[in-house]
Amino acid sequence: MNIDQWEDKIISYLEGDLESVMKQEITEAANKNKEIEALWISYRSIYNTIDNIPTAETCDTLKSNFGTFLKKEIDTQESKKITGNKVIAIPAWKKIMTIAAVLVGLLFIWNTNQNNQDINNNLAEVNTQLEQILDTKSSTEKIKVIRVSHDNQSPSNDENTKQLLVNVLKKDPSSNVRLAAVEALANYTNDDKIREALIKALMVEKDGFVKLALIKTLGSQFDHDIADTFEEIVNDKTNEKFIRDEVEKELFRHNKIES
Amino acid sequence: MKYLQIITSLLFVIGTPYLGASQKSIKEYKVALSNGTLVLDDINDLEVIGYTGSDIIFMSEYEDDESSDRKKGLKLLNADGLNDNTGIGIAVNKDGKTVVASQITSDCTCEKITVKVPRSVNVNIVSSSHDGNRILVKDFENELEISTNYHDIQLENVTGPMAVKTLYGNIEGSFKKLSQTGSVSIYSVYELVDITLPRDAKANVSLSTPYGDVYTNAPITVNNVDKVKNVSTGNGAGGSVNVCSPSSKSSTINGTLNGGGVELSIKSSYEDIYLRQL
Amino acid sequence: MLQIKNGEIGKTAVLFDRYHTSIYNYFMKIHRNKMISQDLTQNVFEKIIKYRSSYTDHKNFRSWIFTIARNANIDEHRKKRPTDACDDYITLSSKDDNAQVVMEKSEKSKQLMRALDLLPAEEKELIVLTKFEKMKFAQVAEILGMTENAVKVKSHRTIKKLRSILVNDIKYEY
Repeated sequence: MNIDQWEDKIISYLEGDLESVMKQEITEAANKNKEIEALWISYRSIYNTIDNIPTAETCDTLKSNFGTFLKKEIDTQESKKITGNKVIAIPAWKKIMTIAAVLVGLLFIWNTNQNNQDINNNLAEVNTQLEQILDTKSSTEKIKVIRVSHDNQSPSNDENTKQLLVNVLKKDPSSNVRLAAVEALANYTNDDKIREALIKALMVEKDGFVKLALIKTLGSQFDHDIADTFEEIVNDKTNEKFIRDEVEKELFRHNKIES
Repeated sequence: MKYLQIITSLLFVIGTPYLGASQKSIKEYKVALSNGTLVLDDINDLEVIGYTGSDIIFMSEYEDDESSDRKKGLKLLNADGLNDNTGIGIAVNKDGKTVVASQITSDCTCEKITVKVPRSVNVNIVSSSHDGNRILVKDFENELEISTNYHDIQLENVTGPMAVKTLYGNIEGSFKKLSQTGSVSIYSVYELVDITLPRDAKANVSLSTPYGDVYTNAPITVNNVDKVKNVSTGNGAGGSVNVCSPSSKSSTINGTLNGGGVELSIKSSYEDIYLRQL
Repeated sequence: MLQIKNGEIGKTAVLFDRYHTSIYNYFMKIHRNKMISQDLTQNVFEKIIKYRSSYTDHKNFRSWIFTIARNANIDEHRKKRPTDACDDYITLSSKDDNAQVVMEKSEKSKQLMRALDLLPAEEKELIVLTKFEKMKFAQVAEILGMTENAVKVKSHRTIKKLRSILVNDIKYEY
């Protein structure tokens, strides 16, 4: 074991992560090696010093100031209860603003329809490029084309684009390229087929970074199937700890785990 | 092209002159490859330097210790069946236009491996192990891919194109120019990313850090600041306090630099991004 | 907390009694300034009342309150109020120790606080939460929006850094 590993071991022991038998192992190593001895003594002293630092006492002003604030809040709450049933009238300027906002919205929808034709033309080009890049060897070229396909401000529901991206996610040997495919497919998580493909990819993906991206993407469209997959990952202790932590966080976020 | 050569050269000697003191020497191993890809697999401490030659040169400082005599005449072998055919703790194999170098020793205190790479060779560095010290890539202009879990990554005098990612390491990089070929992506999940670009670098920039901040002195024309879709809202301990939540400020900044150019994407999930301009 | 959420804000006084020392100490370790720590502690409890509706019952309350404290702290950093570090509360006393030992322990504690000041803000915060507040990595992860494993890895790195500062820069005598 080298000195760095001993240092980690000493910290883990002092953090309470290791069995108490480790103490003997550490002290034996410290007796034999001056460097380990110095680490052991210094860390023990630092942890003792941390434990020895006393709790700072608060002063009475803090409590009295908070008491004053609390009293004011209680009084405000009481007065709100009394006036709680008052009908709030919408001022005329707000009505005008609302109508204006609706008109702007309608104009935007009309304009979007006009742009759709252009987007479809661009899409055909992007699909051709995507097909071509599957055979190229340059990962950064593939990432470039994939990024263009999803940087589109109005991602289309084009089945061909989606299928090409799924193929990249399944087959590309570069984890950087697969990561780009996940980012692009994040636009289509409301599509059942894409969600299914992402779940399948999560179960076979080896790269930790891509796995994290898949977890985040699926977590944004949480449903029963995703919950089942996530629970399977959490319960499988062969999965890396950070992956299980990330999945647990998503389950927690969707109230599937109580703290 | 079958030219393989081992050169063990004593370049310098460190140590006291008395008998029995440990001696350090640099060992070299060369493989001819004028264009193609070099894959560097699970190497703990790695330095890659671009140069104008036509051989890939692997170098490592080697120190005789008390076990050197015991190892004499034996080769390191690992569970994948790979042999140390270089004498510096790595296995190097060539298949057509691809050279794969893998670390054999499980001792993560092993010396740094320095690799000099011809300018026309692409480099792909992969590591899935739980060890990882540092990867330095210097004076490199061809396509670079890095995918690792624990290494800190340092890029010096590079140009792109590149796709670089690490889970637990910092990424620091300085570009001498920004190549307009392919794309540039630089991602860390749990640590910061600090990148310096030349003043005239043209790029379509995407900077994303859900839990950190972006600091820059580059004149980026911001096109849109999209809230990241999957931020926690309403349920997380932090997410529930709208005005305070760290996740409520999650954002991806999309913009252009010097009128736009190569796709440049920088991400750090949990730490800050620093984008500097010289 | 749920009673407060449902309108009984008078019950905040109970929470104040239970948590104000802990929150005050968190700020004291970071700012080493009584006035700022007091202001920030007051600020945290005002926010609890203000944002009480956003608390959900399945959350760990300690993590939630520290998340608010953390954000109050970030706001404070933005204000960049000038501070004078004050370590007088660190003067230790114990029945079992003689004057010499007390002095040595106090000196070590002060050195430790000085070393802590030399760490970047986020690393200092990590030490305060994990080592001084003795929070579990999972709780700190919740507060910092990180995974438990990431907190563990960072915490290991930071304690190493703290030791290095203490030994090399502060000349800490262990």
